[in-house]
Amino acid sequence: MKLVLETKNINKHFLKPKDFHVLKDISFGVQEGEFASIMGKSGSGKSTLLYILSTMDTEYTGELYLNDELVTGRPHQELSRIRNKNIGFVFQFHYLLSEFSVLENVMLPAKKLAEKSQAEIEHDAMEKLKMLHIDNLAKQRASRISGGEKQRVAIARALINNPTILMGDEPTGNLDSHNSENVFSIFKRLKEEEGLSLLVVTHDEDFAKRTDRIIQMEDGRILD
Amino acid sequence: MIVAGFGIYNIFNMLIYEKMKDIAILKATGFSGRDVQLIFMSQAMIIGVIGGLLGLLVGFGLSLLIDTAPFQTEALPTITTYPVNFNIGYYLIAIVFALLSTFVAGWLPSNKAKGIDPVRIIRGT
Repeated sequence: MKLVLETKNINKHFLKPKDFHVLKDISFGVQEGEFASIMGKSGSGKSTLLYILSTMDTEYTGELYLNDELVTGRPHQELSRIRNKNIGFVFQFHYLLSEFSVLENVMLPAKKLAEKSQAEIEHDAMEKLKMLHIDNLAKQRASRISGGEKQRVAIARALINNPTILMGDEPTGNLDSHNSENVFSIFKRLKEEEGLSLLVVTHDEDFAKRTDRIIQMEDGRILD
Repeated sequence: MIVAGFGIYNIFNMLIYEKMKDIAILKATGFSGRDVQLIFMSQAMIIGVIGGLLGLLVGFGLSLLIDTAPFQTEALPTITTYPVNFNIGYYLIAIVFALLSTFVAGWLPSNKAKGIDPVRIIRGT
């Protein structure tokens, strides 16, 4: 199987308030179409690792490969583009732009990528919303929909550029069990129907157990 | 001009502080620091252009009004109303200063927005 994401000996230190070795020799990979979850206690470094994998955090040593291409050491401008095109990100908190409509929020990353025309982007965005059963909310302002709906909009936004991998930092952390279940089944469907790779950091054991692989982290190391 | 510039500078600082999360998410979804700066700079320049033009119009209107005010002095027997100089050059200087001050006042805060680290905002540290 092809690895969409691979790390080699990633180490990271937090220098403030004092030197702290957060990640120790992290080497692992995510395969194409795999639904992996990262579990671990607070402070085990799982979120830190995810932010490095997402290319947002660049202060580390080691190597990060995305689609077999070395990403480490690229300039910021290029990393932004890689993030825009290849990585979809869902956070614990939805982070929608509250002044914009649901549709505009979803369209935003695609407009930045600028590979398609305005009409195509709008069509794609509606498709994504339909897939997540929230197309009826398209014209609503993002601040006026419920928490579960917001998280689904955030997923639609993460998917708009058809990324190689979808990452989640506790995507169900703020949701009740019904909406968590909803988000899980969406992820599952994305994996099965679209062959999307997913990597999700979670505290929720039930959620993690139903994924293909659980990556356990403790004190900055991966246990297996 | 300096006072207005400080006003705009302050407003932009507050605005960026308020939009911190939005900036972080833009960056997380693939907008670069330069894009973020461009957004705030264009807003600053819109304020500069609109404010500058509005200032010119109001200034022109007021000087027309003053121009009709009666003004008599023995030293200048030919003048009956208040003398106003409508030289276009003064208007040009005014608009240039308005644009310049909004540019500087927008540049400094937007430069800060450019450097925001999305990870720090999203993790809340």
